[in-house]
Amino acid sequence: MSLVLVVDDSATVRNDVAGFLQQNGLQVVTAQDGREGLEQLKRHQGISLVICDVNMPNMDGLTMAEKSRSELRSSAPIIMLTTESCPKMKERGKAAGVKGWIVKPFNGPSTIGAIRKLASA
Amino acid sequence: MISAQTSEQLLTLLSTSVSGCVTSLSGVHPVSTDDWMSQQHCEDARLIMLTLSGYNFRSLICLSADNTEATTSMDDDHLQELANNLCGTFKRQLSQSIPELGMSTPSALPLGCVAYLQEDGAPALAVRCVDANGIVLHACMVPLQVGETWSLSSLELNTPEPQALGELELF
Repeated sequence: MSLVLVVDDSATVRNDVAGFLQQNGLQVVTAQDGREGLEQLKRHQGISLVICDVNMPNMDGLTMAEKSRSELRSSAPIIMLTTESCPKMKERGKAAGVKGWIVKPFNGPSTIGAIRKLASA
Repeated sequence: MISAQTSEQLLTLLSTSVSGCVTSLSGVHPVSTDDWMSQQHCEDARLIMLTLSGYNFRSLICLSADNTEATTSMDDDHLQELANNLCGTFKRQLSQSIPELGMSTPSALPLGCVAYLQEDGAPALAVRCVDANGIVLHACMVPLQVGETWSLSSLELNTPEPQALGELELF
């Protein structure tokens, strides 16, 4: 069963997204900022997808994405889930290996197909 | 001091942003600063604040909830996330004409700070909205700096379509 890491400083978003993924048969671990997200990636080698906010305290999501590649050598695909949609941020995400971008709010039913594919790739 | 026309434009932008981020709205109405301030006296009410800033634009975006039963059933984190979505929607629309805008993470503040929001004489722009569950929210924008040449005239002020949000854009 695929393991998904959900990183967001909002407990509401973490619970909503994690709950939806679990209902759809995926295992989930969570983190409340980028720093904790990196720790979870170290702890759980089997994480097959990361869904991550951009604006968070301590460490933002794009920095976490960059560090996951450069420091942890993680190859888990990353989807950003954020209120941001500016092209510069998306370009920075692409350069860090981010595979997809969702502008909040999370729409589970319309994205679950792609999430499953990315998590099992 | 910003012009009356700019105030009106920003108020329109605030209204469309609220409409775009709060689902099942039954109405969004502009309210006067005095009306907005008068709603903030309740000790149990909560205020969430974010900042939105660029090189020629700086403002506060606030979201507050009243103390009706429907609204108090919503937890603080949910209110913060709503405020985050509101500020993000506002920023996306404003970014059409103001580049390099950045937004903060939301902070929950005591209501005592509301009085200070008007200290610099900046006119607060406020709207009241009610959703289908009876939750009453007040969204407020306090413009602190607006570039003199800025105008919304070139913007397409469309209420963001909820179905356009939440879609996965694959790279």
